[in-house]
Amino acid sequence: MNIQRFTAATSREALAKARMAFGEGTLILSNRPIENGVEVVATGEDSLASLDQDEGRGFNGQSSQSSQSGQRRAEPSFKEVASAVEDDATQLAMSTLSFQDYVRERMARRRQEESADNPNSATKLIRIPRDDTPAPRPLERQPAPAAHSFQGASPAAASDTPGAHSAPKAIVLKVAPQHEPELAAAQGLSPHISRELNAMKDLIEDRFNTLNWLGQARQNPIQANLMLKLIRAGYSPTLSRTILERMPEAADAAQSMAWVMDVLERNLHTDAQGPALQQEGGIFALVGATGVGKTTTAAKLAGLCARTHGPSSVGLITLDSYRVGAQEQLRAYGKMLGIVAHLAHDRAALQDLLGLLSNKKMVLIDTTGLAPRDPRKREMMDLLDIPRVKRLLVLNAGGHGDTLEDTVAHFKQPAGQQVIFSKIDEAVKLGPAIDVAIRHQLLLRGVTTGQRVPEDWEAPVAAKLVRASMRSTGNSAYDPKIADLGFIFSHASSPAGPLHA
Amino acid sequence: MHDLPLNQAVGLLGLAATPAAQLLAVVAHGDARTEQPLLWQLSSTLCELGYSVSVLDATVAETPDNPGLLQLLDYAFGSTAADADGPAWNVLPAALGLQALCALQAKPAHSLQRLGQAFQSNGVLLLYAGVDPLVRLLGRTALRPLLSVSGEKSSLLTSYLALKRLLRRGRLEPTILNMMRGDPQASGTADVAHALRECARNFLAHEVHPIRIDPAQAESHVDADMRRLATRLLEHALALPAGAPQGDAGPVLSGKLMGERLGAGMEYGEMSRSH
Repeated sequence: MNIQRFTAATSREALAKARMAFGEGTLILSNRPIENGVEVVATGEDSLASLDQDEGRGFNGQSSQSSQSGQRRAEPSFKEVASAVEDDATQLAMSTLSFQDYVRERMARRRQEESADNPNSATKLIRIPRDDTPAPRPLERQPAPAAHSFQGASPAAASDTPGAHSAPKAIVLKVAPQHEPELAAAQGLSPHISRELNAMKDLIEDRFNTLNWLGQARQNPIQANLMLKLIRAGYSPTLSRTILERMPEAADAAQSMAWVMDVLERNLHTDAQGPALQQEGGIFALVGATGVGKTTTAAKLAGLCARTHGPSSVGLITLDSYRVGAQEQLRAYGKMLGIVAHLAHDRAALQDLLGLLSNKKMVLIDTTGLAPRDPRKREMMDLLDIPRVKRLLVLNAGGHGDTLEDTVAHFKQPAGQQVIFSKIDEAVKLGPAIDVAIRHQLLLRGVTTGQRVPEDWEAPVAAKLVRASMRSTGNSAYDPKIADLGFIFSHASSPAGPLHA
Repeated sequence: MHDLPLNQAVGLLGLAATPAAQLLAVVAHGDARTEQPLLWQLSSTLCELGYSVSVLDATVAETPDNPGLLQLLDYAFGSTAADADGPAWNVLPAALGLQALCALQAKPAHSLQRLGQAFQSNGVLLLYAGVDPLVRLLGRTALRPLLSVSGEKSSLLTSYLALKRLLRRGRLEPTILNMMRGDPQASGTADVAHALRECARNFLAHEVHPIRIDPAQAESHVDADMRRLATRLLEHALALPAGAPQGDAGPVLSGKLMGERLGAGMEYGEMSRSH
């Protein structure tokens, strides 16, 4: 089998090199960005058959008996994969471009299937070497974690190549089992194999959908530009794609932009239709990661409630006995208002204080800032697990999308999570915060816009926030270009795990 | 014109209530061995919390040599700053002054206003007095006097009597503080707080929920407990109006009261600036 690695400054050049080496039957096994450009690992379609035959003769020197056992086990899984792919074909039938991709892929698979019918052929396994040696490496002997190797030429990238072939590229997906001895021993579909096949099916669907969508986006410059704009604004590829997939086709650029903004506004839930926090009143615990501004936000809310209902209407409690100066900070704010800041060290003390402050319009509980995976977080959440206590998750609006996602995932309560965006004034991009609020269906109760207490607080206005998020922030080294979209989406929904690509 | 601090929270100052001295009360019911250390710890804690504290000891009468509240009601006699070796708070005798404030001619609101005028500060006034003057001065207010119980032999009787008078005469619901040392079951001593709770339930139809502070525990724990007690008391503190009295004149202050001492707790007069 001949597997080669091609590196170039751009993916188009790398793909062109691969085609020069293997011709029209080029199968791209992987592509990934590297320090100096893009690396593409490719082989020829005819190499697959020889690989299968090699494996059939005894993978890594094993006996032919074990190889045949492996083959018998591999056959149903392959059929299942093929069946899943056929299902995909039905969904993609309406898309000419993606269907072409699919047809090529199906043809490649059929050839593999035919070779699999050969008694001498064995399991389908392609392992892509991860080192930098340009020469093809023999198949590895030692067991390895499940590996997905795929080839999917970026249509956007390929189309931009001057003189490049516009024909869609085939996709080949191979799955390596976790342990080859298990492969040899297994006779039927174990749960493990079933899981692998399901994962493979999901991966195939995802790949096809992505390529389908990218093909459509490439043909629709409005969609492509909007996608780029959303990505640059900090919205996740997942949300961006979900929105643009539903965009009306007949709309012009301005209408499309307005439609996207409208969708974002409608899906960003705020308390605009209901009372503001200080008017609603109740017991609110401000939770969140360290340094997001929980104490300052608590002081702002206390000030707002004092402005509306008087200082005596506010109760302040801090659970933060860990951070140096935390109690003193809240107490200082309280003294400015002429109110007392209490400290609760455990659940009993908290409940006692809540009883003491039961006549207050609003009771604010300031909590210790904790990293999302801090083991103390569970303890604190349990402490706050009191029916009347509503949690307000404070999110730093300037945080990275992944960071916000992680925070929400760990702090979110089962239903009705309310959130406050802090430090809006420091955020270069509001997209990540709005994105995570939309995807997790968080109810935005307010935004903090500066350090001043309590002046720098605003009621959440979805339209204003979305407009601010889509405002151009100038050139940034972190902004993707239109040609990068293919890379973004080829990795956007890849499952976490040992991807050999 | 006051100079406002230039910081991020200057906006809160405009939302604050009118600055006023906060009045707290500690009931003197004859258990001085418990009450005096409690006053000390409470005052220390309030100072640590950043408040300026003045203790008005109404168990001790003012004298010309040891002026107190009575003199303050007539004129400000300057700072009562403590000695260098003394505590960070002021202790003033207040028996006669309190008696004057509670004179029949004065309405309670006016009495409190006079008291607020005497202390033109934003600090905390800690009034240590027997039940009768407390009821006369603070009756039907939202203030919750602190009533301590201990393992002393007479504590149950005196604390119950104080509780009964506070509830019946003054409509004042005290904060009960259980300062029993150690575990009553283990030590074999009577659980006064439990007995007081039962008595209050059976004879006064009142539910008592004592707060427990064990003076025998580690100092850091006592400090933390005392801090929680202090903030709890502050939550129900009475803000003293500082404006000039309206309507009729304030209480008539009689010089003949000078030098008199109230019976209850008079033996603890040495507490004034003696620490």
